[in-house]
Amino acid sequence: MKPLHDRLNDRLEHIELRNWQNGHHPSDFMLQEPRHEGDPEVDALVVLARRLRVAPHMQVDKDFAGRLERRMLHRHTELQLQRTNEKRSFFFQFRTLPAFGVALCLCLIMLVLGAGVLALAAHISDPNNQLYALKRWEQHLQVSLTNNAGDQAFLDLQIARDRLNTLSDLTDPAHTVAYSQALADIDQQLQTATAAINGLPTGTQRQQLASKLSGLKSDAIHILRNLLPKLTLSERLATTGELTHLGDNVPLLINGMLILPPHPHGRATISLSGSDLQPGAQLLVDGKPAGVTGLLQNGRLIFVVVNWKGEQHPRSLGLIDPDGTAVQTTAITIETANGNTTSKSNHNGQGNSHQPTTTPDTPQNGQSSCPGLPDAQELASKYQLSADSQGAAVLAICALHRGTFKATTSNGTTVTASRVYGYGEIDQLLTYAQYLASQDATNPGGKLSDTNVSSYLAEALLNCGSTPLATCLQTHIPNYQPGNGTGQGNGHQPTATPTPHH
Amino acid sequence: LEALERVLVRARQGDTEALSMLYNQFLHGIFGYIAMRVPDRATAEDLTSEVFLQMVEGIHRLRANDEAGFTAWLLCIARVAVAGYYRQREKQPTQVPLPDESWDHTKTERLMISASSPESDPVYWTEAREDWLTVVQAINALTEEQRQVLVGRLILGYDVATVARIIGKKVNAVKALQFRALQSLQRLLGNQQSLAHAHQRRKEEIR
Repeated sequence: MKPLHDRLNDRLEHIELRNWQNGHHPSDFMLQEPRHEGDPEVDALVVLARRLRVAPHMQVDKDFAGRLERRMLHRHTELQLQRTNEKRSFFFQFRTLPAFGVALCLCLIMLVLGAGVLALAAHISDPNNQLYALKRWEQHLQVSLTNNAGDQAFLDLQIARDRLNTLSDLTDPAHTVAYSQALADIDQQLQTATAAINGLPTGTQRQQLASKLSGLKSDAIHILRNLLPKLTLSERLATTGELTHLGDNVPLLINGMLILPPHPHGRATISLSGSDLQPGAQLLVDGKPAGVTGLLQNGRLIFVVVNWKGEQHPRSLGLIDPDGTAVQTTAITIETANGNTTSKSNHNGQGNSHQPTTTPDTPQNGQSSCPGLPDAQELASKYQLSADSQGAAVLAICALHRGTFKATTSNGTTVTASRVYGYGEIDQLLTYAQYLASQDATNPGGKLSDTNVSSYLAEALLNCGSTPLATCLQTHIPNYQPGNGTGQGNGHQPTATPTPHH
Repeated sequence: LEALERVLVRARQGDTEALSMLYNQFLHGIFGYIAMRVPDRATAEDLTSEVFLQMVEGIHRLRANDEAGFTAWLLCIARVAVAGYYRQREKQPTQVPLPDESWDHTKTERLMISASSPESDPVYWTEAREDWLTVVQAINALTEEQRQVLVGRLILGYDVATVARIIGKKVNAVKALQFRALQSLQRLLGNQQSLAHAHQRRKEEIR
């Protein structure tokens, strides 16, 4: 026999409690008393259930039902209106759309992090720090966002001072490139600031900025001079060049004369001429100290080198002055023991002097219009250009050497160079021109040729005309290293003496 | 008939017609649940109103998507409303209800009823009110699960399986709860005398 609760449930289901859902009024079956089925306990519970089901107190009043429905729908309308307004609000979207909230939070985090990194970078003074590049970017952005010339000049001066303060961290040999870059940056910022200040109308602001510029230059000279003893030779050469730009008095080399010994391993005499030469300067031969100290005689520094290696012809001669500055020249006249004289401006020599060391000869008495034509032809050959004396390459090289170069870049800019370039410098310009040719997508084959050499030389001059060549090449040519045989460290001023005409 | 699941979806989206359908389907059950727990009709109507207004306000947040889940939600609101009513009543000083606060009609309405009607007899109303109060007290003495089973089975007319889903029990447990609920009621009501009296008066009204 089934348990009581099962029997009760069966009875309740049997009398179809859900009749009311099918359209029957509850009282319909309420009126029918349940039939007894010989199960008194269950029968009594069924009667109780039915009476409870149909109790009048449990029935809903129709008026109340109607009123409540209207009230409920009215409230629904109110809420819908309220929600529509809420949906338009920012906070509602934030609360109800998790993706919106997450995106907003991420943006805020990025913003905070970005601002934090930028703020951190702004205080970085170590150029070796990775954030330093970000700082530089910030500074350049600041400058570019400034419309006022005075403000721009002020920012340029600030940037220059900032770079100046970083130089002391870059004096170790591991940061030679970074040092050169920082030096070039200082030079560039000072030039820009000077131009901006010169463009300002006369007034208080101009005076203040000019005073600041002057102060910065003095500080720069002081700092650079203090750094000189710690620097490598190439850094000293660049720093000496920058000191000259800043208006400091540094020795300048015009040319050098080497009197070879009559026999190998004999005594050679080297005489260097220039300005502000200092007694006690050490001789540099091909960028290396020769261990000889010079004597100042009649404005010339005389060095006597014992045990000169035979017919050795140096590519460059230079000085390390007692004050730490260094200068070089590739304009060398070599005199043999038998009195033969050869002038040479070595295109592979170190020509880091930033001031002209000589002036080119001009054609005289029907002599060649290109002084040092063999050197020019040699240079042309080196770059697989025509060595023909009337060829475009040789003519362009000669024009550079004479200070009469004029050509047009590929985008139509005409470049005129009245400055006299030594062959060492021209070699560097050709290196850069060759690089430009290889990078020019419009140049079929990417090679430097007689037809395009003038154009690329013009472009090279346009890019490097106002910066020391060595620094400029380091800046523009990836992995360019001074002393790699492709034209070394020449300053932007000619260093080579054009071939004397006899 | 449209499935309640679809009606629920529409109601959640703010469809007025769907809300009306839900209201009409569940009013009887919710009112019954509340009426069997409070002593007078006015309170039952107030609390029922409260439940359906809360339904309108909260349905867009409802996660249940079937009839059992929705019923459980509504019953939960009703249970909280009743509990709130009793909490509130405990805080207030005891009030002795007057005869005109009884079920079905106000005093004014009653005075307008024919003297021949049994409803005009104050003794009738007092007895009816006291009889139903006994029923309410008996039902309040049951457990909440027993009450929900009675509402689900007797008022909403659900089968045992649906009620089992509403209260989260197994079918056999629901049958047992149903049996124990009616058995307890029978005992508490003293062999159904109070309910029988109320029922007898109802029959007389109909005649």
